[in-house]
Amino acid sequence: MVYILNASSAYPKNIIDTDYQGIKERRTVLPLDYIALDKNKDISQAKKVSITTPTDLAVESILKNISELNIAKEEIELLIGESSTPDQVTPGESHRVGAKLEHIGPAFDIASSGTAFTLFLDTLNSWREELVPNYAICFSTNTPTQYLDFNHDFSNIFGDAACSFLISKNKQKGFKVIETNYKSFPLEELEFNIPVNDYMSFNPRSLEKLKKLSIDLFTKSKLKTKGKTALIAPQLSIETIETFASDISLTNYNNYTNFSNTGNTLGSSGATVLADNWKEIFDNNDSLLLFQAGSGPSCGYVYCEKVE
Amino acid sequence: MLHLLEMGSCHPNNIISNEFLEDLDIGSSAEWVVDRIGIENRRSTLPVDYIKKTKNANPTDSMKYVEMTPEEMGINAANDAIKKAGINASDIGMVICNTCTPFSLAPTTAQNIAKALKADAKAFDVYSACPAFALHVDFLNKFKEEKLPEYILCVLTSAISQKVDYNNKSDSAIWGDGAAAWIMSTKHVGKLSVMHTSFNAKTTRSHAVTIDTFGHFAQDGRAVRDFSVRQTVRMIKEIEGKFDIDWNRDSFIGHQANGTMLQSIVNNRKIPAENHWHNVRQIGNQAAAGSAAVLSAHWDKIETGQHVVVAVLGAGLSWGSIVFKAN
Repeated sequence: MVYILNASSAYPKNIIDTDYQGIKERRTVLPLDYIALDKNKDISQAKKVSITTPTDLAVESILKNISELNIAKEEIELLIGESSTPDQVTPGESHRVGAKLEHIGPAFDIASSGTAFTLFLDTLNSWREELVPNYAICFSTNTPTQYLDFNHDFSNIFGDAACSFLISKNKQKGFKVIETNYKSFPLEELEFNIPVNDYMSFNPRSLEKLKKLSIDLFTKSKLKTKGKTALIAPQLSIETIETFASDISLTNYNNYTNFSNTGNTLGSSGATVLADNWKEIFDNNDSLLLFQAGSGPSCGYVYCEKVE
Repeated sequence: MLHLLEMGSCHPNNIISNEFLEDLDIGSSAEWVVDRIGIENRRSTLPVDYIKKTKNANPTDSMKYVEMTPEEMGINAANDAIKKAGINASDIGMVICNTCTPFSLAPTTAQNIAKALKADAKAFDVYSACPAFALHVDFLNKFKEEKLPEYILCVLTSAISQKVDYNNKSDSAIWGDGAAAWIMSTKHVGKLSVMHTSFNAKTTRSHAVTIDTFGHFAQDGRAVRDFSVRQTVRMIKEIEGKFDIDWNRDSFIGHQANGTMLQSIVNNRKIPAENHWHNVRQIGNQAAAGSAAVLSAHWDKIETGQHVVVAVLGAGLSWGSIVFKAN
């Protein structure tokens, strides 16, 4: 069995407060005057002017995560991470983050963009139990604002954030993972691309397709949830978040979101909702249903039950 | 048990010879390269005229001139493996990929390769740069058998020549481009069975080998070389102690970093030349793809009962090993 012991987030301090389709704020590593004056017209400059890096955001999130449970960084046996917006394509993001944590032990990247945590947990939940460590950190860290042309309206949808989960096989607390499901749909067309050295391209109609794929994936599963369920819907749009419970016929639930304060943070989306509301979610629910959906296209969910 | 069913590879046609590097007038000589690095030729996805004219001063620009992308090399290698395995792309249930030089961050390279192959499969990248042959096999070897699909496609593809500063005589002499792919299964017995895997990292040395997203490849060459020899020898010794390894029967494949490094390793472990399989002298260091491409090229030489020992390492710093046994 795999347990989520804790979740933590980290955000850059700069806030873009344009009100757009219900998103009131999103964070950015870019200086606000750079965005206002330059609109990121030379994408290769974005990395140079940024106030922090995806790596440092991930480290901040992880240190916060383990300090909340009084766990030393030396106790982390496995580091799995990803970034869709890395400063370097080699080494992996897990290695750069590991260096700052002075991590010695297995570390590698598993990447599927917006579905990072559902893929991480689906992977660990599929491993032979004896090979899942006592403490593993999974993280996703993304700075999509570095890849935006701020002349496009859709630039208002995205924000920067990192998130980490502390995972264990035998520390029976937090949320026990009961069912995971990750799927990619490479034959489906979806305009949601981040080239390595060019602007993100994104068609807002992609959101509808991702929502439909997520609903279909869950509906086919026949999963029965236990008691009151904390629902974290795919953080794609306010409309998706508001209607998702009904779309998947979930009745006994509390709906959690941070979308209007963060925007879409790629692989951290949804995961940061759990991180930012951990105590509230843990205290007031019996189970947790976390969805993610994104580029690929891919989508997935993690269903957990609370461990008293 | 996890089995390797078939393999494929792809290398671009453009050849960067030592004489070509000498003509770049960067202080390189064919004799120096062979003596110090042990490489005669390397393959590149970049036109050699482009390298000659620009020395790849702007690696972002070079992406416009490549004759094959890392994805395209990966697709070619994958098609090769799929054909040899006698299956269809639609039979594949999982695609994993490692590339040091992606053109796309989202979707991932694995997802784009799955799309090109028309494989409606779970697809994602599993990445640790050069030791990814070991990482991928070790990663899959951790799964409960019932959680893996019938056929899994692994792809390693790398085009670091696109990231090399051709004013640097060492870096320009090392790197080549290539891809390798293979089919794994727990449901079908293949030519090779996986007897052992390992993967580990010492991330405090992650700065030793880097490629900036918008920049050139860089490494602390001497430190990496010393580490590579020591760590590879250590991995081989551990395997020799655990398995019935007889270097007169069994074969070794190391990270195709450079010829002189590999020679130091095989000298240390007294591995005869005929059982040291490599391709670095003629293709260059193809990052993760190198060792897997070597196994692919030697596929028909594998004999029943033979062990194939793979010990690889690289950026991270990270390392891993595999012991295959031929059925």
